[in-house]
Amino acid sequence: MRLLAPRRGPRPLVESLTTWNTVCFVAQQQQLPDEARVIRGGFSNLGSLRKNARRHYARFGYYALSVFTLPDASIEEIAAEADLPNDVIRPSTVGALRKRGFNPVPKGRPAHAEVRLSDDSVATINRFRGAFEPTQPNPALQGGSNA
Amino acid sequence: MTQPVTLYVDFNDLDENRNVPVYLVFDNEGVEVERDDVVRLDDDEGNTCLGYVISLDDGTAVVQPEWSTWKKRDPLSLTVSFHASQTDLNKLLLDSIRRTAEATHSTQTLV
Repeated sequence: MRLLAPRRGPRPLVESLTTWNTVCFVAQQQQLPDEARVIRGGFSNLGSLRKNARRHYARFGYYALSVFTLPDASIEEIAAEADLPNDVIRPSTVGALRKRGFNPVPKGRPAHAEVRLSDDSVATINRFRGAFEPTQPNPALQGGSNA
Repeated sequence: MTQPVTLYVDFNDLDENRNVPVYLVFDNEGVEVERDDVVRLDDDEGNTCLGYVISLDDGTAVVQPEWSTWKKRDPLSLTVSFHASQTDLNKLLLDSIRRTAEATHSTQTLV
C-alpha cells in the first residue's frame, strides 16, 4: 500500500486562503439562537455608543459595535469569557437585537460578536440601546476587580 | 509633570490578550505615539487607565493596559478628572525605558 508522505512546509497560498475563507464564511453564517444572552460592557449611553460606532466607521468603513454572546451560556459565563474591566454591563438577547434589526455576527476572539449599524443616527443608536436591559454589576468582577 | 497623551477607546474591543486596539483616526486623529510610549486610555464613560503602546500598524496602535492604574468613573460626578499619580507614571516610565533598552539589546544581538 502506498502511503502519502506527510505535508512539509507551509500550505500553498491559494489553499490557505480557501481554507480561511471557508472558516470565515461558516462563522458569518452561523446563526446564534434568539435566546442566546448578549452583554456589552459599560453603560452604553448614547454618546459613547455613537463615538464608538463612528470610530469603527473611520477605521473600517462601516458602523459597528462590539458585544459578547455565546449560545447556551449564562450572563455570568459570557462575562467571564469577555473578561471586561467595566464595573457594569448591560444584558440583552440575540432575539431582542434581531427584533430591532441588528444581527450579532461572531468575529474575533471567543464570545466576541460584531453588530453592524446602518448609520450613526440618534434613532439607530437608540434602537440598538433599546434592545438592552438596565445596567447591572459586571458579574466577572464580583468579589474583586480583575481590572 | 507631563501627562501622557489621551487615546479614546472602547474596552469592549479588548483582544484575546486583553490589549486594546486604538484607531488613530476620528477623535484620536493627530495624536502621535511611538512604540513603548505610555498613554492614557479613556472610554468616554469615565473609565481610564494607563497603558503601553506595544505595536503600531497602519493607523492602529495596540495598547497593553496597565490594569493596576484602572480608575472607574465617579458615579457622583458628571465630569471626569483623571491625573495619573506621580507613582503610577514613574513606574510606567521606568518600565517603558526598560522595554526600550531590552528591545535595543535584542536587536543588537540579532545583528
